[in-house]
Amino acid sequence: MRDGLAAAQEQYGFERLGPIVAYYLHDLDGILERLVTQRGGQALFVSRGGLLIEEALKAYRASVEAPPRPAEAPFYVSRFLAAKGAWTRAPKQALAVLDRELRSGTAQAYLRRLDPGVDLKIADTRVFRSFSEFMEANGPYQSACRQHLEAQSALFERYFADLAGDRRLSVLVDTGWQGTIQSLLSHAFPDQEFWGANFGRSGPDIDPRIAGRLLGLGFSANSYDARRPLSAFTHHRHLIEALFEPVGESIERLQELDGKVAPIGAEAFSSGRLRPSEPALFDGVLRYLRQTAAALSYAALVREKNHAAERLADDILFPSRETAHLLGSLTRSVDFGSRQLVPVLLDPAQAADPAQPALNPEERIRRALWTQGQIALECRPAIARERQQALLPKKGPVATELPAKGPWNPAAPKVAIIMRTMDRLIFLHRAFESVARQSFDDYVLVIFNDGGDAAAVESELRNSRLDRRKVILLDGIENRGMEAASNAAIRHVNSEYIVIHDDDDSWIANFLATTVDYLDRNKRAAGVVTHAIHVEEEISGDKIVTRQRSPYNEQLRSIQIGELLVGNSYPPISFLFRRSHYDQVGGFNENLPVLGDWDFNLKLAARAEIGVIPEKLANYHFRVSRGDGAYDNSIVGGADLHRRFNAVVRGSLVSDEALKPLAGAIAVAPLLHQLKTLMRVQLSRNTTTSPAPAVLAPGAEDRQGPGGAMYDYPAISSRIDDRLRYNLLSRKRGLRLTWIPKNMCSTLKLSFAVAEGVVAREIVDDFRAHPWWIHNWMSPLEPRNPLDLGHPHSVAVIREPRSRLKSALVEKALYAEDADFNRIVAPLLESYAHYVPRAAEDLTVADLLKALRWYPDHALDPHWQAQSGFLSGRYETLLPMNDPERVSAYFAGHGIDLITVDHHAVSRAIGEPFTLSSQDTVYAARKAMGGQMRPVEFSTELEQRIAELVSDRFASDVALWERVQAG
Amino acid sequence: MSASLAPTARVVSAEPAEFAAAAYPEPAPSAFGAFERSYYEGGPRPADTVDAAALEHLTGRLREAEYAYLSLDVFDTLLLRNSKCESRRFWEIAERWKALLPRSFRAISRDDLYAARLRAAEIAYSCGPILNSTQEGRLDSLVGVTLALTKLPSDLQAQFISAELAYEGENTLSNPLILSLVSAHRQAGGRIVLLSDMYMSASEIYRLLCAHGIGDVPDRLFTSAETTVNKRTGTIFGPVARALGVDAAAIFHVGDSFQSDFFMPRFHGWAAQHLPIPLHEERLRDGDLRAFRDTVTGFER
Repeated sequence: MRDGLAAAQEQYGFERLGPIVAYYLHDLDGILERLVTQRGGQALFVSRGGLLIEEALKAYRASVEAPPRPAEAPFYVSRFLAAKGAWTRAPKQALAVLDRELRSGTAQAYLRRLDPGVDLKIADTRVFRSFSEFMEANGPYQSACRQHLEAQSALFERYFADLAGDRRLSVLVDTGWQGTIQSLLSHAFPDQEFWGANFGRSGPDIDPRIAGRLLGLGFSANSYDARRPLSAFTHHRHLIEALFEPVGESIERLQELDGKVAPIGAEAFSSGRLRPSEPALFDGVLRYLRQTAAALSYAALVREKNHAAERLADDILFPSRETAHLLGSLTRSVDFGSRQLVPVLLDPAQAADPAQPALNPEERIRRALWTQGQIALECRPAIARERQQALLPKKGPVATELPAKGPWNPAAPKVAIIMRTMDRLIFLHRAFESVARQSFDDYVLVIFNDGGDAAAVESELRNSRLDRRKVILLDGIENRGMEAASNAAIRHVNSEYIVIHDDDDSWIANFLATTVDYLDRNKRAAGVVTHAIHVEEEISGDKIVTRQRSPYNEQLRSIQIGELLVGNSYPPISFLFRRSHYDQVGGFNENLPVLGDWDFNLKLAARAEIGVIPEKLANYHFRVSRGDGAYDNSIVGGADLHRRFNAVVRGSLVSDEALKPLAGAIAVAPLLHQLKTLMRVQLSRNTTTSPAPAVLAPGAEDRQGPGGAMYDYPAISSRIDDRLRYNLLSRKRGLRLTWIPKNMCSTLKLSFAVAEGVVAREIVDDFRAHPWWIHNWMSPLEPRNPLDLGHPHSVAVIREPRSRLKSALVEKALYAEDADFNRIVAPLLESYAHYVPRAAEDLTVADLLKALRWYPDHALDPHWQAQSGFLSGRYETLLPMNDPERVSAYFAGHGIDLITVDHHAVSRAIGEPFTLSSQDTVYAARKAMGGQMRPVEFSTELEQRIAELVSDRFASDVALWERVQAG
Repeated sequence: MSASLAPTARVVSAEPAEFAAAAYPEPAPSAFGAFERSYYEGGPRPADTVDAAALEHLTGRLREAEYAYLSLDVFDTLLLRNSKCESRRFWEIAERWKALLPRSFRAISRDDLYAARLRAAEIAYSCGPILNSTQEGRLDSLVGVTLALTKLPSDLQAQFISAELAYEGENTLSNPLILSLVSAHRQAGGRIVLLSDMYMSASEIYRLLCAHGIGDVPDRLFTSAETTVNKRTGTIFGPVARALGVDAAAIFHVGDSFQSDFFMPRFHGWAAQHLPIPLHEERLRDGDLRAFRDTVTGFER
């Protein structure tokens, strides 16, 4: 009588796995018929998984009354033994496998894993980086290893020769995945034809030599593909491994007994002793094979399989807690000289077990063999579903039966690509290739010849590889300006989306596919921007020579109107937008000879959200100016016009309906730009100098500080921008901000002003009254203020590697209560990861969490904790942040730096109480308990001195502002 | 205050008068791409008449240089398929296979054969992409695996292949436009090579051509099923040019697939002409596929 879990597993084996295994076995039998019976080969069922596959195959054949086949045998081998067996004949391949599996170790570790029976006194305790490195050092231990490998190799050849007899074709039957044994044998025995008939084929490193003969009869995939539900096994391969794994250890050595070669340990799998390690699951499958499969035609079998596969994919990818328990209680054994069982899922209850190392949920999720299952155990269902979904490719598990789209319709293409050109033939070939190479093909390219030689453009077109059906060439006859040309070109095609492809820029092949997919899925977005590569180049004769490639806009995570007011933050080449919003804005402003894209972007961003895809999908090309202006970018060659029209654009924006409320912000934006300039100067003083280039690259002046010092201003600036952006994002959506490092307070205040245009006056006043903000803002990467550990509302920010911090931050967001809130918090927190330098590699996520949370005094009250669900009781240590010594000691012990927060300044800036709480619930509880905020005084001598200096510098800006206000 | 820190922008509303936009006439599209667009968007063409305008364009292209070879795609270029979608073709072929089964195997249905054929293609394809995306399935292999999956005797293989070729013959027509182009090229002393990304071998395609009475068209015939290189990835063009003993620039290729018959050959230095399947024909096939999937379900995946 089975217990509840075992009975449920048996039923699962019957209902879900049964049809899938039957389908696999049917096809396996067909393949064996073809390769073994018809071609005179042999089927070798590879231990361990293959042995139970053979059992299942026998059951299936018996149920469909198919005769057993001759030339089928168990093959007692493992990857480890195969590597040993191939040692003499294919040493390179054998060593590669041994290197991959054994990794770093000592002489003793290597010897013991190769041959547990070895009896050597080993004095050498050196740690070798790899097995090859160990073998390169000639010595007694290496000799012992070599001796063992050669002896095993010789035995293996005899063993395989006995199995194969005079057959020249062997089909290896196993669970999966990359065909390592098949690859090793193919190299070692080149006169043999080896096929693999696996349940699954998966892995990035399949040996090309066997690729054409390695069959994944259940599935063949490296990741989940919604059109093939069984590819879900790539997320839980251990389900199949556990199903077919018998009780018994991996076969890793051969021995000679009575003149015959015998695998050590094979007796555990002998007839009558072969037992599945997951008997309930396996029995369920056998029941299906015996009761149901026999009655099915092939078509019915396929339909049953398809039906079961869809449900199984859902179970694997979106398991409930119950399913996770059902399929996560399985274990998996490891081999390669190691003897241990690995659980598929980690029990969250183990945290209470003092004997177990304490892992937090995020660590368990990361370590579990089945990520989705662990998420189901750790998170509430709604949140679990979100996280499980995030593990999948963008489209999710919904498969469509019909083709995604019908034939290409020239009357209504998805995208209009607008390319304006005028006498710049040198760039056209590259621009045409950029379009022709797109993996997305539902577009029309409209080329507008804006007063240049139309015949020359057409000649270039004829030499291109563009799809002729999709190209419209318009000749404007005379130059009418970039924006007028864009509008004229856009009028010539009726598309859903539009993108301006400058004739000197280019795309990565999946730019359109990715951006179109984004807008298709995000209906509220007016457009989407991608990251780009900044390509510095120069013209040499008729060649374009690339000088340098560097990331552009790497830190961009969202588009904020406040930032756009300061300056254009993305080039046309990386921006796909909706025609409907283009129409709303009234198209491009034809009165602007330059900055038309900036004007357009601002108007669009004022009306709707602009998404960001953080992938570098576009190339933004810049020429190093030659001085004659022939091939200059407009931003370089037309620098005077840019300066002149910067003010014009701002002026015109005020008359735009959507931007009117932001008039104050429009006015103050240049001031913000000036502040950034100041910051740049301040930063440059502490930056390593390098010789100034003889010719400034476009944009390079932005990185040049006093005396020619160069520094990575764009990167620093982007980091500051991130702070601005996410602060704005939270504010815009009516959410309370989570935390603000002290030195960001002034930035925050400015950002509010810029974005909302309501407190601009106060900003100016505050600059006068509290110019220390500027100092703080100017040195965001170098906090100078002493740590204010005594402050009750301090928050710790950890200097940590980006990835680990990120996972901690995500966890932080997930375990809070308000999902909407967290959607904002997660990216905000994540953005901070860019700010912290690398250090303290050994910190755990728990440490991070503890550090990142702000703990009010009452949070230490167990009763309050229980009532509020604070931290869900997952973390054993809560630190009182107002106990400087304790906090300091704790964090110092972990190498953590602290940055304090001036919430009072924020409160004043936004005109309402401001909390530093990381959760709304904490905030509410704190408020209810009468928590008050205390001001922080900034009056050190140093700050005062800097304040005066900065105030002085800004006197004229303030005067300007007052003039503007006065009309 | 240093000059570099001086404010440079002010809010102003007036735009400089010299930049006020002028009124311009709407530009008209050039003739570039007109042939491809009209060929694609034009309505149905009678199968027994030559599109004179198309022939003029194609022969004009052929005269642009001295091409030693006219290279042609086979399916949907030299041979025009009808409006049945691929799934329906396989379904109908399965029906013919069913008719060939000996009495003792009558329990095997058309559904079984159709499902097995899809599965056989999947198995063959699953081995393919690893080899630089160049390995294609082969008809004899597809049929062989289909027989194995349905537990049918392998001696049915030749009959199944013949049945499929007969079906293909009945469901294709030779393209009079391309045959006229072939004649023109032959008269000018040129030769013809056929290139097909297809699971059929050269001899199977040749049988099909003979069935249409155009076995004399090709001087050479290359198919991805035998060469393990193909047009789709461009791997076939270099080897074929070498096999023909001519420079890449001496070959003019015509075919219906933008990727396989235009983009890739151009990349490898061949001249090429894209002759797309007309839109109305694509719509018919798309409609047929949707209709087919409304009636036959549960097999694919």
